Amino acid sequence: MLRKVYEQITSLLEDRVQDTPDARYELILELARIGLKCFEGKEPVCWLGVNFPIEIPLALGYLPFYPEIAPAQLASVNLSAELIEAEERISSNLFCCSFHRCSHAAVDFWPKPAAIVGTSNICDGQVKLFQLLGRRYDIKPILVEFPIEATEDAVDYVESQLRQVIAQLEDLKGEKLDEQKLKNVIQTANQARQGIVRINELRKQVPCLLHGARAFNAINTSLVQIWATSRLPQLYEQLIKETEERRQRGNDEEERFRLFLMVGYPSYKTLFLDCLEKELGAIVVMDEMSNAYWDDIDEANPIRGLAYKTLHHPLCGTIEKRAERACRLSQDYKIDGVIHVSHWGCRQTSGGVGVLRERLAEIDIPFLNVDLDIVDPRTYSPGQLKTRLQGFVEMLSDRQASEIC
Amino acid sequence: MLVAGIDIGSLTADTVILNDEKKILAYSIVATGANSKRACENSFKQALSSVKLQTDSIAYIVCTGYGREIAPFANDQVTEITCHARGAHFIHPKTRVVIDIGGQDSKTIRINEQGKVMKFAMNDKCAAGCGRFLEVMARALEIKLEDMGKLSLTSQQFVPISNMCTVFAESEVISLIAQGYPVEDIVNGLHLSICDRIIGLLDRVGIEEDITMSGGVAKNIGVVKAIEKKVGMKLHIAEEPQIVGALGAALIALDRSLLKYSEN
Repeated sequence: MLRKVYEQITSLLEDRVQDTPDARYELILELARIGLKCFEGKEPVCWLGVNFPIEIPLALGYLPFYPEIAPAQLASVNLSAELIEAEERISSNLFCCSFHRCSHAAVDFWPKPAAIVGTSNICDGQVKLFQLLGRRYDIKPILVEFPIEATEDAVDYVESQLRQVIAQLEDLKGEKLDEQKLKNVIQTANQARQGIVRINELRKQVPCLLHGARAFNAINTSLVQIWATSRLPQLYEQLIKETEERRQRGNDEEERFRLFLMVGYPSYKTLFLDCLEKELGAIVVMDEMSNAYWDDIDEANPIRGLAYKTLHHPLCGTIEKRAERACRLSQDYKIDGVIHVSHWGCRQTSGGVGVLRERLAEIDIPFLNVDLDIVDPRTYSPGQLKTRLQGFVEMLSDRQASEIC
Repeated sequence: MLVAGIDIGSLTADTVILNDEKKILAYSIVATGANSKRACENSFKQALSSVKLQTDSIAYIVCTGYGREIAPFANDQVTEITCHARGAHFIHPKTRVVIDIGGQDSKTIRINEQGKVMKFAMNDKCAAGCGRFLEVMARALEIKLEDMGKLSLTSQQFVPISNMCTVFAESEVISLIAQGYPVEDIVNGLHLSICDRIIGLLDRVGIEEDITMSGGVAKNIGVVKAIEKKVGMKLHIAEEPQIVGALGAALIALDRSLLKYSEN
């Protein structure tokens, strides 16, 4: 099923980008190509949790695959609901995350793993999911524990665990880590990071030059599965060039309000972005994950740099840290309002909503929380969603009118 | 200059016709039924005919409610959040918080001294605790919806009822009837469960002095008393709380028609 999705994406987008170059589609195409490679069986596949540093398996010659992200890819082509339904008939209940329910149901459609590596943070549900999925292939997942606070001791602790994971992956593959290869991967990752920094400068501009689905697909999606792969820096360069060209052609989109999005938006088709951006002129300028939240990784000491990076993931750590970051980014990107999507069953994101609302209120930034399932379309009610989004934008309009008066 | 506000909700379609002195000339409340477009037209026509007016005498129309986009004759659509805020503030200018319990959703709205929305909270995931919930329960109890309020005030004991799901709550009610609980105690339990949900929503916007309650459920004295007891203050209730959203829409229509007129 997933393989077919990747094949269809590849065949559709290869023609498309040949006719009209478009970095956003090139990035999706790259993701589908790497996805397809996972099914070829030529190179070993390593299943990864979203916050495990992809640079390590890449340097060891594993292909990365994300069983937690793949459900979003299935949802985007309308295939998630039937899998989640199937899963509900067998075992899990509605209060489990639908990413995980879908992944468990689709385990036979995922590429066969040689290794599974998970992390305790950002999602503890992942630990259980990987144990369940591993049983299907008789593979015991390798799990890395992340402390909450990113102290020097915590970095030491994670670094030592990453070194243990490397040793285990070396044993499984029967090959030692090539230090030069790791250095090359880190160089590519650092170049890609610089690309993100430059892209985000374009997003800071008023009006925003790269926003909504285009920005989200280009950056957020590429932080996993294709992160640190060889073509990524070049694709980011292309994206920057295309965005600059768009600026020169003139930005004809109305930007009444600038929004900051927390968590994400549904992968299946909804009115979410069209309603906000096209109907209401409220542009999603920045999102929580798309910021380069880590420093360039020291090529001389890459494992420590990777430990540091993982501990600084936006969803890793305390709610206060997340709230501070949301405030800082809202100010940096001249944000008028923040929308937080509470994905059903996701405790680690929705659990902090009260603190986020309070903290943003202190700097006078309105906050809207929307309960939405990101991969299960059965819970989606267009009318209910539209009322909340429109009501929020009306509120922003009233604030703006009061300020003008 | 005459304007109209139409609130097309899941249970009723309500129209308010207003003159340029902000005086309500007419209003109507009709059941939405299965065809919300027809209900909207009927509501509008009924309000017009009650004061012998024709459609073309209305300068500006704003539609609100979940069916706000279905009226082809509307000049604008505004959410019920903004409209209830505006309507409640017009009726009681000191209002700082609005509770609106409609047919399929409930909301709390924090407003400023101009009646502008500062923040809002809405029920999530399920319509339990809304007007439709009470309709279903009245049917299960074989009593009239409009009798529930007064009946609950005679309750002598607390009977807890789940507020998370209409279907489960209905099963609970049927089970309580079978166990011989008095109807008034069951109804009171239902009202308290609605009240608990509203208190949760109120906490999210902040409880302030001068709360106005709008929407059809504001006609239920049992729910009103339960909320008043919890918040420790009397709620403002309009003479006809069901038209507060339509009134807000009409007030916005008046603003916009005047703006349009001045621009021309």
